[in-house]
Amino acid sequence: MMAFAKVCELDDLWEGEMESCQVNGQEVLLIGLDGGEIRVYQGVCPHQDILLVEGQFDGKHLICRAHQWVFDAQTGAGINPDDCRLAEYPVRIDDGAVLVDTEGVTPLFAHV
Amino acid sequence: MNNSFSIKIDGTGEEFSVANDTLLGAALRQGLGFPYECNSGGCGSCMFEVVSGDVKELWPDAPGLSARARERGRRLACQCEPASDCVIKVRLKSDYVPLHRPARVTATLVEARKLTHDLTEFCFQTPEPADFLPGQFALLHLPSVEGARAYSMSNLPADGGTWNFIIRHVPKGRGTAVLFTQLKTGDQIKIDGPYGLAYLRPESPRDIVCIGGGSGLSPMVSIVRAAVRDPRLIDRKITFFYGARTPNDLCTEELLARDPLMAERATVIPAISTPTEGWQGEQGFIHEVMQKKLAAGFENYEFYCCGPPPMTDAIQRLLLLDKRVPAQQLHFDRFY
Repeated sequence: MMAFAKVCELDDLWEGEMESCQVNGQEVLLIGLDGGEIRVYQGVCPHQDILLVEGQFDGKHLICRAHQWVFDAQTGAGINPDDCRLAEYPVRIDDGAVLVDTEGVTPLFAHV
Repeated sequence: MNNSFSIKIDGTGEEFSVANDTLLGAALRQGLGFPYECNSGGCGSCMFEVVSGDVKELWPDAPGLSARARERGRRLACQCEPASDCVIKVRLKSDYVPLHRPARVTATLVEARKLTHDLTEFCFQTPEPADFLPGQFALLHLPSVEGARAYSMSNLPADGGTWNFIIRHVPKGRGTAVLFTQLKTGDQIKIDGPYGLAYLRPESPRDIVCIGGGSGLSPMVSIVRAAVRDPRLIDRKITFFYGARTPNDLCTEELLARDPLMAERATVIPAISTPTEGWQGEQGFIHEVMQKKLAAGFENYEFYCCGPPPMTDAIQRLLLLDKRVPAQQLHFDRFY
């Protein structure tokens, strides 16, 4: 059963940009990677629930505004600290629209 | 009238009561691990969601809550009092469970020691023991000043019921105006504390680096003084970098003279940021001086820092982004 929901137009998300929105009650972060690929991760930092869109994104790294936790924007893996990661949502591009499936994905949190 | 409200945490069995208190204050006083950092509306770490019930916001424009977070229904627990029983959403975490539960006590000013032209150490006494960890802070409720001011303790918790704070006189600051010009020895204030996560971790196996700027001196002095006395840290190197604008803003000599053990055990490196004729010591921003003076291998240290936001930002970027020091080895409380 597919549950892809439209979150924005492809044109709304340029390379090197990020946007945050709520889908089925979950905060998701949309990332426009260098090269144009799109990734969708949990919208809050695994550390303290700070909205990641309030941090920085340079096309490769995501940096939380609160404590400079750094994540690899390609994979969602934590770089520092490296024992945490961002949950990733399946994403599909359909007729110029970005669709996300939140089913079965829950945000991950660090125990630190 | 019933002033006590019950707060249930959604999806957990946890419940706490709040009477004439903020949600955060009440949760911590009852021993819950409610996430927070500045307890002053600045950092956003104590964000929660109201599922049902009403809260009253003490400071609706608090900078710790972005417009987007507010629109998502988030609020700051340090700036909310309940107006009814509530159900809220928040992830409690064990590392925020207070070792010493914060309490509101009446304190008497016993001494004000001038350290520089704008830094003074204020010494308060409470009948109860001052139970805190070196590096923690308290909220000071001053007579005729709206809201509380957060200041870090500069002394050791072992000093009985003594709470010392090194405070900088802020021009036009209403809180410091009362402290520096109105409060007299024998006057009473309310102290609410302790709070804060940037305390000394004596169990860490690493050498210690403390970095302070401006009135960020206060908690660093407490940490260094505690570290040089802790038998578990007998083999650790302790280095204390202190940054000020000019030689006039430094008081490290006096602090060392007052604590010979600190002078003997810790390496204290003062630096000034404004070039000054006749100054023989280090010059530059304190994070640059630290980078120059520390032996390589930044990941081998436990870092504690406190100071103005541009300083702590620069230190975070240097240590976490450039030097890849594990995030859990850097201790500081964000006051912005």
